[in-house]
Amino acid sequence: MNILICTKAVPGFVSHPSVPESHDRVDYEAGSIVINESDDYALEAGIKLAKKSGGKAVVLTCGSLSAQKILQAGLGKDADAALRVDANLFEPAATARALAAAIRKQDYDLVITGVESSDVMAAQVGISIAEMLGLPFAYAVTEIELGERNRTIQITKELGFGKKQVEELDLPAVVCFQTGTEPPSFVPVRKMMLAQRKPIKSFTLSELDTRGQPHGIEVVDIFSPKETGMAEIIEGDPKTQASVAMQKIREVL
Amino acid sequence: MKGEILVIGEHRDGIVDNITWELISKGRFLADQWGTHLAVLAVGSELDQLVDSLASSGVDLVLPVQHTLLEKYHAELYTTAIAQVCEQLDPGLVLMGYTYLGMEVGPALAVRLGGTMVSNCSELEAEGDHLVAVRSVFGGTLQIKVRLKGEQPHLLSIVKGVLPRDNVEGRIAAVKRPAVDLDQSSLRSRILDMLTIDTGGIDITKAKILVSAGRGIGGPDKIPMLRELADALGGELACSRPVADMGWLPVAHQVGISASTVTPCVYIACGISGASQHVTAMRDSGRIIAINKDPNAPIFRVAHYGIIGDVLEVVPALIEEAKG
Repeated sequence: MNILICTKAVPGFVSHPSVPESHDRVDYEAGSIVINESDDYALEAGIKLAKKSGGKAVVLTCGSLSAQKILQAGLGKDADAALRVDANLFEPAATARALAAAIRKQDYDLVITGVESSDVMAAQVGISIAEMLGLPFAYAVTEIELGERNRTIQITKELGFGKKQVEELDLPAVVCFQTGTEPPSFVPVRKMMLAQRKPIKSFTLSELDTRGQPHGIEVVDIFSPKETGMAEIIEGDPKTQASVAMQKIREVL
Repeated sequence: MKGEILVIGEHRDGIVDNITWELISKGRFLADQWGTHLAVLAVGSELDQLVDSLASSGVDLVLPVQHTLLEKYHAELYTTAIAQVCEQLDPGLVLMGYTYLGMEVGPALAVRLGGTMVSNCSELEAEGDHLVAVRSVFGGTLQIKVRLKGEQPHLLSIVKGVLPRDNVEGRIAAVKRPAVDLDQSSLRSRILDMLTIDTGGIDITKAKILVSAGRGIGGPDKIPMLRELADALGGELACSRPVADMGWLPVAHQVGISASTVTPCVYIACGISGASQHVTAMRDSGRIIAINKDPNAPIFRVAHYGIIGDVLEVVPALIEEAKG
């Protein structure tokens, strides 16, 4: 079973956020670039499942050259290949279109994404890809198992309020993976160095015929949410703070 | 903006979920502003019980989407059924919760209808003919304001618990049962089982005081300290998702939209940043006290009182106060 894992490079820390004149994205300075948390879980699960089924795992992303770092981490975790769509897109629908176009060119049985990126926080890309490709999907998946003759998968997904659903999906399918109890592994330095020498194929949006699609949303402003409401801050040393806090607790008991 | 406004209703155990009332309140306001109608749909196999309460909630039209195949939540069938209703009604705006339903079905619906979606919104208003929404980015440390200008329908998913719920005057809505054409044989996904988290007898939803641990406490070795505070206050231990994921506490203690929603008298958030999935499930607590090193942590936006400081210094002082 061949598995494509969609990942995203996200900033570990953001400063100087601004909206450019084009109003199509947010500009900022990133303190560091890391793989999005749920994507890291997706990557781990995807590679494991591909190996188990005797298939290939391919890690892909949509991002600028600096995003290659997370693809190399994927290769370091034994993904068989890496692909990058060379575009810096902000709108989830545009990212989904670009990734879906790249996925169409691949030979795959299953696409795995994370549930939500920590930067745009839209939780839209994975399911949008599924619908664009006309495939069955599942969101907030915590477990994936292979079905009979690699034609189906059995997944467990969250429904909220402590409920989960076990579902069988025909392949090909798209699943959005949730963070879970099995922590992603670290890539040893030596493996990472070897991974950095592997080629990474990239596509431009023109090559994927998705350039020039209209934007559905316009970014008007970016601001710190402090302005819209804030807790009353208890000042002082820890002892004073604790004493005031305890007073506030006792008031409502 | 043209066309009607449609709210995708949610219900559990025969009761309309609060998110639906919140969406209806906002939808009513926008519909009056634009001079259009407001409809709400509910999906299921047995909806009669819900129809009356929805019909007197301020909407103009109730659409019970009833079918034997819609008894249990099934993402593929729900998407098809809701899309069919949207095609019949042709709404200009579709409002849904940023809930599991909104996250799984919403984007599929947007693609299928050729519409424009903005998810995870916390504010929504009309600016002339356009809709403007405010939503979190970068882990909730910043917010953006966006204007929808793409193809209609515009689909917006809204975080539960952030919109005010207004009581609307007693107009009685029309009820129309839309026909949906569902075919089980063409399904590409099948529900095999339903699971419920094993709580091992712990019920954090009943606790009057919750001392809640986040990733920011630093490690599982700090849990006993928080337990001591919970015990001293006569409360119970709770935690955020990462803490349960990492196994520092069993999932029975987890507060969040995937696990338990809590409304204790006092909620003490220790080292919790305040991801929306967590905040949604505790924001209705009587008094929220947040302790966090990061003054920009989103938890300070829902907390009533905040202590910007180290949990390791503040919690021992709190224990002393509580015991004193």
